[in-house]
Amino acid sequence: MASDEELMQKVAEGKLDAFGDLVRRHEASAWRIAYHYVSDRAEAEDLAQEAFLKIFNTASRYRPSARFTTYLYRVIANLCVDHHRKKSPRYIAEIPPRESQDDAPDKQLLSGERSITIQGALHELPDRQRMATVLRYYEDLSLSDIAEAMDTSYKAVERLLARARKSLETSLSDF
Amino acid sequence: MNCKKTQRKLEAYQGGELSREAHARVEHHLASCAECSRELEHAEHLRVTLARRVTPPVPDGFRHRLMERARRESEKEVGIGKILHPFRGSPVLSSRMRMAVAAGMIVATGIGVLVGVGLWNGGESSRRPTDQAAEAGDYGLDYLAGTPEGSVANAYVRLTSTDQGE
Repeated sequence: MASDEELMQKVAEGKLDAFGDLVRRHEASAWRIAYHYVSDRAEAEDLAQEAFLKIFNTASRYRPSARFTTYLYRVIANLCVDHHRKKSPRYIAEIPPRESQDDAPDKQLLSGERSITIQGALHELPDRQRMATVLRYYEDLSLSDIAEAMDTSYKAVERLLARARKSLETSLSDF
Repeated sequence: MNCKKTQRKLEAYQGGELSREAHARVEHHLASCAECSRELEHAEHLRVTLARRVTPPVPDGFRHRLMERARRESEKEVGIGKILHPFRGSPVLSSRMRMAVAAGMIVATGIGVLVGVGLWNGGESSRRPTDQAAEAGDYGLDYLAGTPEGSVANAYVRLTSTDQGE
């Protein structure tokens, strides 16, 4: 099976199939980051698609000096933070999907309320703290990987996550 | 290690991402600091809390829509981009070689324009009326001399002879 970096070489040669393979492998990741960052499905889809299209259009400039995933995280993180900075949207709680069809209605309601409270707490964080939190808790990235994705230092990530944790502990104290 | 620094290191400590020495320093501080130990408990609790947020599945048709957009982009690139940037993305030519080729094309275009302008001016000045008349004679239109008055052929012969006379 071709590595991500080999697929990117093929994308640079204009091979759409290779791009399709990359999307299949990483769409869930891009979607998860965008969704947990913006908390809006339509907007998250736009951002995830923009990230992949950007990668597609600049494939010829890609150099496999770093892992492809690092590159993907960087593109999606930049797009999310920039987009939200420019747009500064008003946060509207989105009803989260049901966890399971089998769950009892009261359990589903509780789970839905929990998700809404968490997304509200995330939305109160400043942009970069929120992105660092999303990459850490929903993508399970190491601090070094977050630093690369956010084009910052390891120490800066430590600070972002420590501040975000303090704020979230306060907003989610009832959990 | 003080409390502020310890609390900053808690994320990496939880994830087992610290060096052995740093890990030991944090552990040593936690053993003697109730406030930081509580902070570690909170951090662990927060991880569990955030994990409760449901992630919806990737929307239906996400990949299909994306591939459609990519296909359109690549067609645009072939249609316009390849004309404007014929060597962009070429795996054969390096960026330095592409710049050299582009510079060569600019020089060649410049030379072409200069030569073209020179030929144009030179060609115009060398075309004197007498030469034009001689050329007309060379066409051998004598066979039209007997054409009836008012016919198109007659008008053409008149026109030609007028030009020659001027």
